Amino acid sequence: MLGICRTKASLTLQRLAKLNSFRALSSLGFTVMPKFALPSSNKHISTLSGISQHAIQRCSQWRCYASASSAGLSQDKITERVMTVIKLFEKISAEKLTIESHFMKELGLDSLDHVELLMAIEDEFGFEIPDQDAEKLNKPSDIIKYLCEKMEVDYK
Amino acid sequence: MSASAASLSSQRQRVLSLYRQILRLARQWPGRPGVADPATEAAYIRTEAGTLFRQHKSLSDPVVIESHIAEAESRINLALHYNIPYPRMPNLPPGCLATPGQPKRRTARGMDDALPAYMKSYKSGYAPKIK
Repeated sequence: MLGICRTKASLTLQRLAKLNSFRALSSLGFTVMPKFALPSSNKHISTLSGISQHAIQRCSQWRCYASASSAGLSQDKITERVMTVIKLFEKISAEKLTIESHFMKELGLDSLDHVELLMAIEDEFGFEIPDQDAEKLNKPSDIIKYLCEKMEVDYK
Repeated sequence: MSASAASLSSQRQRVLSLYRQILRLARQWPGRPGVADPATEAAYIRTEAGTLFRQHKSLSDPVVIESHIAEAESRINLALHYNIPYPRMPNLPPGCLATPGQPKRRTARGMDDALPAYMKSYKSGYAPKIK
C-alpha cells in the first residue's frame, strides 16, 4: 500500500518537473521540443533547477543558430545585398537608382520586370516571397523592410 | 465599370502569379537526362515566357486575356506532364494540302482555327527561335 503511494507520488512529481521546466524554457522566449530539452530517462527525478540548467545549456547552443545577428545579418548587410541584386538587373540604370526610387514610376519597370526582380531577390536570400506580399514591394526600401521583418533583424 | 475594373485587376493578379509560377518552374527544371540539358530548357522557359507575356502586354479585352491565361495554364500543365517545355507543333507534311504551295486564305484560316489552345500565341506567323 505504501509502496504504491510512493510510486504514484514519484510519477506525479516527474510530470510536474517536466511541466515546470517546459514553462521555464518558454519564458526564455523560444519554444522548445520537450523531447530534446528533458532528460529521456524517467528513472531519476533530478531537482527542478538541474533539469532547467541542463536544458538551458542545450538551448544556448541552439541560440547561436537561431539569432540573426550572430549569423552575420544586419540591416546594412541586407541593404547591400538587395542593392547589388537590383544593380545587376539589366533593365535598371544604376544612375537613377536610390533606396527610395519607385520601380514602376521612376525606374520604368513594368509589372513583369517587377516579378523577375523579386525572383532574383528570392534567389539571393533563399526563401519564397508570396504573391500578396510581392505586390506591395514597390521600392528598394520596402524590400529591405520586408526582408528585415522576415529574417528577424532590427529595422531602423 | 467597377465590375470590369475589378475583374481586370484580378485578371492582372492571375497573370502575374502565372508568370511567377512559370519562373519558379524554370528554377528547378529537371530536364531529361541524356536528352535535354536542364539549363538550356530553363533558359528557354524564361525567354519564351518573357516574350509571350510581353507580346500581349497591352491587351484590354477580358475575354481575350482569359483565353491567353488558359493558354499559359495549358502550356504549364503540358510541360509538367511531359517534362518537355516546348509546344507540340502542328504536323503539316508536304502534299497534305489540296492545292500545292501557299494555302488559300480560307484554308489558312481553317488551319489556324484548328490549332489547340496552347498554340494561341503561335497563330498568324509567330515562331520563336528554338536553340
